[in-house]
Amino acid sequence: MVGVRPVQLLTSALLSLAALLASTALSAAQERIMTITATEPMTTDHPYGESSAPVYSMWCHIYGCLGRFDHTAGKPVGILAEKWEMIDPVTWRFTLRKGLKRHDGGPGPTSADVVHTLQRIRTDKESVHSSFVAMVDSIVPIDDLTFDIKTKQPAVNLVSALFDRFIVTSAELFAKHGREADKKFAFGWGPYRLEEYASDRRAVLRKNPDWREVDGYDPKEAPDVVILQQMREPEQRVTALLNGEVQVARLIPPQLIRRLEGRKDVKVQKTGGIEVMFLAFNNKMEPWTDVRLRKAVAHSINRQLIVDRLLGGHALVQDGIIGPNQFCYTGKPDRVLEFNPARAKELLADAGFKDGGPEIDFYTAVGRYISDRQVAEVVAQMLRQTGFKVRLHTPEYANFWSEVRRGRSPFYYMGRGSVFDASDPAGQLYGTGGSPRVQYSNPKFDALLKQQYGEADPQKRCQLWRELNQLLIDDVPTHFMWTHSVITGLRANVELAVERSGEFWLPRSKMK
Amino acid sequence: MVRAIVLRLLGVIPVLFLVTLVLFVLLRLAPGDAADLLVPDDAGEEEVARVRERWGLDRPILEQYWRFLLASLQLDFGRSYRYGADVFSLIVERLPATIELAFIALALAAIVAIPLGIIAALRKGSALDGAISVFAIAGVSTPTFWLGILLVLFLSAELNLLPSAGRLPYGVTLPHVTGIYLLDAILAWRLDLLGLISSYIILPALTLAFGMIGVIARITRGAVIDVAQEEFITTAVSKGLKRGEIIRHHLMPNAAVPIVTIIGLELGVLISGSIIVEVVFSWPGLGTLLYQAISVRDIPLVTGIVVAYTTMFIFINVLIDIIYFMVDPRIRASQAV
Repeated sequence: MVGVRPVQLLTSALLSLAALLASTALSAAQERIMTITATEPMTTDHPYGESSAPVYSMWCHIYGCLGRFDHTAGKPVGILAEKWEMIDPVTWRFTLRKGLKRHDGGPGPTSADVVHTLQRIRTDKESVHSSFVAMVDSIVPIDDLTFDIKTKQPAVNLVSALFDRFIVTSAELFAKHGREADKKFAFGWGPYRLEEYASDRRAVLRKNPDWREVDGYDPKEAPDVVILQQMREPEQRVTALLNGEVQVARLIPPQLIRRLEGRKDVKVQKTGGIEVMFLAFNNKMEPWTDVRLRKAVAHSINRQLIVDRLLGGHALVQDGIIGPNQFCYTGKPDRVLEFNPARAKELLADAGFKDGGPEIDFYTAVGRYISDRQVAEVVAQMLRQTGFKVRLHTPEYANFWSEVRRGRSPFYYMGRGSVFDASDPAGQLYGTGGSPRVQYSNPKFDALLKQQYGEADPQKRCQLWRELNQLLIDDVPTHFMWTHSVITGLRANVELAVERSGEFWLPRSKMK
Repeated sequence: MVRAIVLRLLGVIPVLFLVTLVLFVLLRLAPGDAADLLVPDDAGEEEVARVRERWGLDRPILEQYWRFLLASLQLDFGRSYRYGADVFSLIVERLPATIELAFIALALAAIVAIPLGIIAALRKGSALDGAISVFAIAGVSTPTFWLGILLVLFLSAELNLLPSAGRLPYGVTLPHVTGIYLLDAILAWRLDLLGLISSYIILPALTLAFGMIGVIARITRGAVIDVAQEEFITTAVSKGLKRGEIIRHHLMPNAAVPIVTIIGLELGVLISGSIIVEVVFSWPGLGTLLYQAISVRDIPLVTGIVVAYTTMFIFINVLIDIIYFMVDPRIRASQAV
């Protein structure tokens, strides 16, 4: 150190720091890191411990699921499954892909892993996924890569109901490590492997270099690292997108879109959604046992006006449970319940409320759906204009949902997410004994619904759905409102096809 | 002094018992069922029943509470319904983030508020005093979520000076010693990270501190004005002591007791009151955890967190007592007698 001056020391220290920063910047430049906002709770590393579409999608990218629905192509696409076919009305045969390697270098997925998955979903105490597989009677391995899914009843909708939610995990790793397999040995076969999981914060996914899509597509332009960063507040998501903290901001509410428009560094992507919003009546509670009153409500609501003025045009008015964004939509129904206040007043008079009334309680969640409270306020006002005496209630979601689930809410505004194939949601909401949420019962509806579950011919099946849709419009157990558009903000250097479900498939994304 | 502290600590036991009992009853009486919120929307009643049985929600409330009490004697607060993890571990994991945020906010508030309070008191009745009072009232009256969003919009979105969310970016590793990142960075001699860590903490800390600045400044002002009217200050002035000396040696030591009290109380309020700020800034502390737990009726987790808050609050009060003892010679003298 003799002869070294403080200035020289300082200079060399600064140069070292600069070199360190430069090397960090270089390594960062070499890796394409895409940060995507996560809007739903991320509370557990248990692959079956959380139930929301974004969480299924995350685990599907990591462990792998049987397949997904490509809304752009309009068909299901395999992920771990290579092919599938209906053998008979209660049997589907699947073949898994050859040549896949587990992230730790272990063997590819086998029928034994699929059987293990079903077993774990059903028996693991932390699993909340067992309702997805309720239709499954058993899974029968045929060979290492082939297995049959036997259903309790005919289920032509099995692929759409199960495909992307059936997260396949390794039987071998679970046998060796039990629950620790999800923490320290979270190795799957998907296009990304799990690098870090911090509940309520982020999940970090690193690209699986061996991954090729089922059609051979090499995802070389996809990001090397994807960070799913929890950001529940929309304002925060938009801000993080604008200042470059994240590259993809999901679920931008209509009122915040203006902040993103007209900028060169970000773009707004709008996708037609499949979350069906509706006004639900408890059909066994007074006064909603009277179909004239349910119809009067429907005729009182100017849905297009709400969409245009309140939702900024970012929703699509929907007349039945199936709309243009969904499977089996065969065009506008023959009869629809248009906005017609004069007709609403007539129906009210017919039902004995010529001078106003009845008094009704109307419930909505707050902050659960896009602009839910504001929508409910407008709906309440429109109903008042035709004579209903409305009391609007805005309980906390936990209370709201509990009352709805138990059939104790007389009249409420809510949505049902990811209704692409409407079979199961319709069965649960409108089928006799499906659930107490709406308390609707119509033997004709039940018979048609059962028939479509066994109808393998898509054209005939969609015709049945046209009839089912019409029945729901005519009987008005619920009044359908719209599907919200899925609005996503992206940095200009990112290409990401957001599906109607709001989810995306990362191997097909591009990041420059 | 030691006897007083031991008695205070023993007093924690009935307080915690009552807090857990009231919480348990209130959470069970509240509408909304944890099982409903744990299963997917399309789950049937059988699935809900299975979940209810799995978590013991089908048992009588008194039985549930008795089991909870027995287990909590061994610091076992049960498992979170939603996180599927041990409640105690979850709290221990999240607590450092909340403590770090609270202490930084407190330090910010004290650094700004005490001088402001002193200046306002020394210039009592002046325009400056009025301006400080307006600032203090604005601080007390401003909702933290609103201020937080404004700060994010201005400093993060418009000026792009600070990150809007989280605690550290991906790729930055820090040895986990205490979980308090600033402290861990110093212990690991990663001084290069102090700036980065501070950039994440500054916005939530500022948001939290703003409300507290008003309270501390007002209390400081009042305390200084009260002490300034005491005879010993008049004596000091008469003796010709310099203004600075009077403030340092006579005024502030005597005004310190109420200031220490309010700072201590505010620390408790900060730790337990940071829930909204943590949510707004996605700060992974106890507040975010509690928000999540309440929204899904996660009873073991809510109870565990509230017990943790209560315990901290009591310990902070004990700490204030000790500080009183140190700063106020009259208390020392009375204990010595």
